[in-house]
Amino acid sequence: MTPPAISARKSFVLFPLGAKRFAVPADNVVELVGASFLHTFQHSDPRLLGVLVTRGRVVPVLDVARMLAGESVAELKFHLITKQHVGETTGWTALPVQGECEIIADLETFPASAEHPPHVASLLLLVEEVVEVLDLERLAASLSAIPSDAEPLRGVEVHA
Amino acid sequence: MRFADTRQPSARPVPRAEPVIIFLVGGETYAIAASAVLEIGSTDGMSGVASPFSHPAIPKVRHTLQRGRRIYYVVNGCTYFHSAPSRPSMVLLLCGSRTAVLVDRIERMTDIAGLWELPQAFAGEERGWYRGLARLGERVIPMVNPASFLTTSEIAMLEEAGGGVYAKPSISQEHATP
Repeated sequence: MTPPAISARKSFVLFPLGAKRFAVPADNVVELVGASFLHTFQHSDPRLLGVLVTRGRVVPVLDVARMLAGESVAELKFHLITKQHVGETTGWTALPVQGECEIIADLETFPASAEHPPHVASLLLLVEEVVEVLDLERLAASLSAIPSDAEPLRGVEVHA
Repeated sequence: MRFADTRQPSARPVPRAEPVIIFLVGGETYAIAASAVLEIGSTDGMSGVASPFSHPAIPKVRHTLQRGRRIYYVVNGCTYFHSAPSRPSMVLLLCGSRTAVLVDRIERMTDIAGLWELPQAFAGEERGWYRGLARLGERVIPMVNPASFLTTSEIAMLEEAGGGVYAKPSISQEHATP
């Protein structure tokens, strides 16, 4: 009998959103910034919250709360800036985070089942908790599949 | 929405200082290049020179305005940006075009040190609305693209519909947008 496939051990950043925690590979995390750094302005895509400006870059913030937590979250504490390698370039995108993040080193991942949505790359099995590891590119693709015909967002300036 | 789109273009602001006019529409703050604005006027001061006008395909235009021998099509900023209705008090007449824009008020004139490109993740109408994002102190505000308020083809449609016919009511008599 073949044991389930286990990937190489890696470090992960775990973050809370809604009632659950989610994970992204630590290699993909640039930094964690306070929610007050969010700048919003009038735009037509409800899947985007606004932008952060950090290290000379403008970073779009994805509103993944409805997809991951099943609802919009009212109080955000941080934004987790992540990077993705696309060809020879690196793109930065931020995800909203509701509370303290945790870095856990040297963990092995387990394959997600067919019942998991495509943006779940794998699973971390912790004590009394199974954490979904996000595939950020697929997450963005899933967001794109959500119709953007909701009411356009109203911008509110939030000062750092 | 693709991560591939969020990469290098927004990495650095374009290194140039530019005088801008900061204005509000529907409670939101925007910047427009000062060089794109020919004249700023009060809607009260436009009494008698503005006329109601409508085109079913271009609901953002609800008035024309005559300044000298030139006719301007007045774009309602709230309708254009899909903003909350507000009471416009100022009109921006844009340079080199037949476009005027109703705005809530002018906040101030200032210089911006640079302009970031809008991240490609923003793929909707805002790509036409904005030239980019400007840092203004602690704030980041969008810099509007003046050419997008009315495109050449929209102006042609308005002219075809007879945008030069005048009546009486002033812009200041129109308060909230739909």
